[in-house]
Amino acid sequence: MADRSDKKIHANPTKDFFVKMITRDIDLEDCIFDLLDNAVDGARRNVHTLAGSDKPLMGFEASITFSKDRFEIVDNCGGIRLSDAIDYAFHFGRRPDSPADVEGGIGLYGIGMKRAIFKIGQSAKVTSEATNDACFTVSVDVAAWEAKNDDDWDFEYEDCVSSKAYGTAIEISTLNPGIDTRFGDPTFLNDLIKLIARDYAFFIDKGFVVNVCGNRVPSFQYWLRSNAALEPAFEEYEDDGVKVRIVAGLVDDLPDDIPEELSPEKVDRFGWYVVCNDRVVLAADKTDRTVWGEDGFKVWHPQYNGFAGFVFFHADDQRLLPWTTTKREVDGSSPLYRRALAKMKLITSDFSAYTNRRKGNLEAAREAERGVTQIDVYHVEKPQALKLPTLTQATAKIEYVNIIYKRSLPEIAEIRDHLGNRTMSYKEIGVYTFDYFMKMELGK
Amino acid sequence: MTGPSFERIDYQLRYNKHIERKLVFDVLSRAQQLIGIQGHRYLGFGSMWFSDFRLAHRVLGLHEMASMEREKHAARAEFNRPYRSIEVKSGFSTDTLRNFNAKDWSRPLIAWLDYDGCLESYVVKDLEILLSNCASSSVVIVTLNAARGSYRPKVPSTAPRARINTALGQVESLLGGGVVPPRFEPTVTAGGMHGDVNQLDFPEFMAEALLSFMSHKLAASGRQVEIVHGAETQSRPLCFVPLFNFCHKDGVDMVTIGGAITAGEGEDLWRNKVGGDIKRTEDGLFPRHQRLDIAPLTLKEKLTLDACLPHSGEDEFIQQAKNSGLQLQDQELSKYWLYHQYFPVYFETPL
Repeated sequence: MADRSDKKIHANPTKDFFVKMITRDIDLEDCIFDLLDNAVDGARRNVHTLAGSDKPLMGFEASITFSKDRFEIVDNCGGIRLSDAIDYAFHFGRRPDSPADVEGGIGLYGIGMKRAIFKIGQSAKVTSEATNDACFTVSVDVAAWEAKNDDDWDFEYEDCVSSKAYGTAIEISTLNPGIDTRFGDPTFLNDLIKLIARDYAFFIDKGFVVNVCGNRVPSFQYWLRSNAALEPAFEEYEDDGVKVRIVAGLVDDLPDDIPEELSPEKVDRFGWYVVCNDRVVLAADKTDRTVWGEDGFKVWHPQYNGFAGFVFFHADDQRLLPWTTTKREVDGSSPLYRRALAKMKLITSDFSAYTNRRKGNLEAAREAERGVTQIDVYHVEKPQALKLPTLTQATAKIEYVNIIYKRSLPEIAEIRDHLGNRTMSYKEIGVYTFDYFMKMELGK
Repeated sequence: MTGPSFERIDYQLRYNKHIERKLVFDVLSRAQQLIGIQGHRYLGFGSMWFSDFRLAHRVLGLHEMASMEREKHAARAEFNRPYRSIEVKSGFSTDTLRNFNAKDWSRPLIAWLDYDGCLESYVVKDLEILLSNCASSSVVIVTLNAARGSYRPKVPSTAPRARINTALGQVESLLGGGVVPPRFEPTVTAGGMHGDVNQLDFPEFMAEALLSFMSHKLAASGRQVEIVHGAETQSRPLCFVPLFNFCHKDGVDMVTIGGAITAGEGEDLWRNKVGGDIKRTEDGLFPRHQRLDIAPLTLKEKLTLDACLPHSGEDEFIQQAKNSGLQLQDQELSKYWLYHQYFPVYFETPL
């Protein structure tokens, strides 16, 4: 029976909420990235020893291994001080009296490690050792911890023998249903490597090493095209203590025609990227999380294939950045983000207008877009609007017609076979054979 | 366009294929002993020769069998079927599989889709239908052309290749983004152009991509089976246990890959008991890729090699074979030592 004498409504959290509910709001990959973020922050905390180098994170690495039975991440990024572990690191949510974190870090909310453990498995061992500090192991038995009294949220730790490997190792076993299946799927490994390459590109570029099941994650370069008629847009400004950089331009050939269908890997570089303190939060976004269809702005269309834009937010205090706890979403209501969106829309409008303009003189457009050099998006420094080819309208406006006809599947298969191109669409085959006729019979 | 392969090839006279078939049935007969698969149904492309169907009946004791054959050739296949229990299903494989009913899927299958062509979107569809419907304890095997040249779109010789115009990109586009193992990922130039898997490694890449695709399709399907443990019934997810990863030359490189669909304790049974002798990749995910292309041998060479057997050690066998005057490369001798038990005896005739 509720006690009504004190006139209070109880609002205490439950362990079940942390174990079973908030773990549903985040993908497995992003949980693993939360653990990786902690390693990157650890490396940045220790980076002063290598200040001035263009590879300041050189020597720091994190290794992830998993199978159907277990998951482990081991890093050499400095470890957790025992006093910090006791008072802060395992606390649910960041305590107001927490010591100041690394400047420009990517860990923020004091939830990532615990949420990752709860998402992945039922049993975990966190072993850590910081320089000139104790080595300790925290063992987490999720079911036993949940079964304890509701007021008892503590985990127990044990001292362990120093290995002088200053870093943290998190081992998770008794995997949750569904997680074992994902870890046993070979495509999960291949995709995870690609995602880390994409989302941690700017850390890997600075020398940080990530290994996944023995495979070193390759460095991934974000380039934009440039030539005499074509240069990326670049804008840089400070807003409420956050440094904002916007870079956008062409990353691939623009389509002359709209394809019937496109598989994800053919378009996975196009769209807007949102990067917070060097961590990619949104990649190749084509939704209203960035500009597309946002507040009446035009929606993404395959006509825009070939475009990529990057907005970098950088702040010493990561709480100022417009990201959410999963670091896979942006806070759409953040005024800072909305102001950046307005600038991103202007650039996107310039680009989309060009894609319409170029239809009037495709040949000249193709010529002007040819012969490009690649510019690293991180190193664009000259503020300028998006420079696109100036096209004069073709003198005689050409009218176009659709040609529709049927041919048998074996004949189509024979053409694909002959061209060695097994992924050609029917439309592409039609265009190819028509162009072939124009060239061979009419010399055009 | 060339005609169907059965008009060009007598399927029983290709001994690399013969070795491959025996290796596959060797594993299946272990499954027969350990799990009991005599109630399974055999599904394949029997063509006019039905070589694998004969083995399925003779080695595994399977009775109920179905062969998919294009409408044009179905009547001739019907005439040539060696057992009356083989049903020739006339039509395109994708249509045939789409028309399978719940009863057809209720019984576990040994399905060997031995295509004589390349990976195409209809092959992907066939595999998807099988993986979405096959009962637990089924085995799905697929053979495909894996010659890199068959997957390289023609581009002007000087033009750099975008990823989609590489053989790797074509396979990736058909099977999905996650199937490219990291060690085959091509280097990308500053101009954004891609290298390709080299010709020699292409069959291994393709085999691993196909095995990854099959493992993924099943893992992502959410399919489960009820497993009874005493009074308790548990739902367990179906998974794919890769068992076969071969390549042989049959005019062009062909790969044969496959595995079992299973759940719960069945996974350990198929992986570690049935497939216990199979050498696996370092990460344990796949069988190690085996190239079976043994060079043709004369009768005299074969008899001389046989006279050096049995031998417990490969090196000793090679030495003894050389001492017998054989003029063959060590590599060829090594392959004979490995696969001699599966070598065909051509005096056999399909009666």
